[in-house]
Amino acid sequence: MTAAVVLTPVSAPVADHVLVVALDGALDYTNAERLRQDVEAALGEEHRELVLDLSGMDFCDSTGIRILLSVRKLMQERDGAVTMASLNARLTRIFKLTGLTSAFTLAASLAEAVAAVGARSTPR
Amino acid sequence: MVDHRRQWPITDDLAALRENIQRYALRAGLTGSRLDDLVIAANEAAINVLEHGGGAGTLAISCDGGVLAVDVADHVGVLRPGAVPDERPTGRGDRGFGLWLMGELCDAVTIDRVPGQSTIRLSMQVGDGADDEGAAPVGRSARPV
Repeated sequence: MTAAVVLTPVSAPVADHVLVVALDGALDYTNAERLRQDVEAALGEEHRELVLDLSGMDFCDSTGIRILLSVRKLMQERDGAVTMASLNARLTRIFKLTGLTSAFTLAASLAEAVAAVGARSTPR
Repeated sequence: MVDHRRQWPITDDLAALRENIQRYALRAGLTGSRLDDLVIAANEAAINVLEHGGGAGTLAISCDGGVLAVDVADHVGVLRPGAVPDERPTGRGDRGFGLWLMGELCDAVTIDRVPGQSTIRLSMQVGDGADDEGAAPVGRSARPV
């Protein structure tokens, strides 16, 4: 089995309803379900917005995409969204091909992603 | 160029399989975004075997006459020639989606079927000029995955 994608909370200047995490590793058929569980476990009741720093993610296959879409659905149910930062060339390629670039907010850097979330939403 | 054929079993160690494919393809002259495309497509073919093709199979890679070929065989033989959709399937979860993706990523995708075994062949040209699009220095995306 591919090593589990490591999920690390990131401290960033964000409001309490925003969760920022970095994902490191390769997301594929063998470890995608595990990541969904880890994301769900990391989310607190207060979190409506999720920011994923993908600068350390080397690979994502169609199963990984399915999991990211289920995470997106989870956040939509909370009236929020998922913002992704710093995709490498390979991730950008598969995201574009599969139409995911329109399903998520993509940012060139984590700072840009945090700014986009801050501009979009205000705490309840 | 004729290169030695290499073969590996398809198991749940997809990371090692991707690394093997990447190393071979890079040595055969595939670089940049086209190398990424082949690795993504081969991974899709392998997970198709794990998910729909009985859970076991083999992946072989060879290079002959400027064509790099990845052959992914299952031990079920349900997948038929002509199964690669021209249009993107709406459901992301079905086998057709992965097949469509392979068709988008590779120069050619063909399926060969004999009783008890279906083989998907993913082909990429590695000859001069074939990788003009998105060609990048070797190593740009050579990080093991």
